[in-house]
Amino acid sequence: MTGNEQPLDARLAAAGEAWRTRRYTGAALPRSSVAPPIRRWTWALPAAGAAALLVLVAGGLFDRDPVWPDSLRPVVRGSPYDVARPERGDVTLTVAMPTRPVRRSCFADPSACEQPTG
Amino acid sequence: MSSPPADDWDLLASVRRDPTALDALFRRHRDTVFRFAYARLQNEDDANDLTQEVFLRLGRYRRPVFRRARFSTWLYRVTANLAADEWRRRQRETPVAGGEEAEAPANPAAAKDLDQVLALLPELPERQRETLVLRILEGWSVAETAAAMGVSNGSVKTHLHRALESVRRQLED
Repeated sequence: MTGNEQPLDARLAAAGEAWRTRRYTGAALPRSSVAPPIRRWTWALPAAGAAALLVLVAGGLFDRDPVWPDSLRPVVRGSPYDVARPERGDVTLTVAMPTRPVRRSCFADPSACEQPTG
Repeated sequence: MSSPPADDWDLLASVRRDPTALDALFRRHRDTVFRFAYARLQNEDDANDLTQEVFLRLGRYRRPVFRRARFSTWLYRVTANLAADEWRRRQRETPVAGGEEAEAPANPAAAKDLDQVLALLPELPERQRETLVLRILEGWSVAETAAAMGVSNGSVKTHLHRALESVRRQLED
């Protein structure tokens, strides 16, 4: 007899032992295999964008010198076009008239427009 | 005194924060994964590549870790799925001969039987092949084999019985 005369169970057990001696012969894992940097930082860009947007929105909401439309622009107090502050419950706005006309020549000669003293 | 080795599931849960966790898993399970892959792909180079791929995927693992099974049975499932994908991909491409075992076997008769069993594997239905690899070659229990395959113990025994009939015929030829 030339074949293996052992019972099948024994032959398979021996084959299993031979099988379990087989080893991985490839390379080690690359260092970048854990948490690739590009993935680690992907959350940072949208987060930074959202934070910047939040700052812009908050800045706009609490801006003390907003850009007003011309029709609503408040005039600087003390100027010839000062708007009188309405009393409580008063719905009419009283516009103070300029004390004197502003002339074009004021631009050329500011001393001509000075308020009279005393 | 050294601390006890970390549980495999704990290591998997920490692979994204701790680079040494994946290395630890790799050292523990690379040979087993390699054999799972080899049993399916029948090519050492492809099995090595697939082993790397399995662990690279574990390195990117994001899902919550559930300890529903033994880690090795779960790892078998991961490897089997990737190996099946690779096998299908190879069916569409021209096969390339890979490097084979060069080492002289310690038990030539067992090595010859093993070669015959391995040659039989691609011809077996998937369930019989898995049963033969896990139960006979890897030496897992019926329950472990059933858990890895997602079938009942009785089903494992049935598949094993059929697979062993094929093996018996192969070895007697």
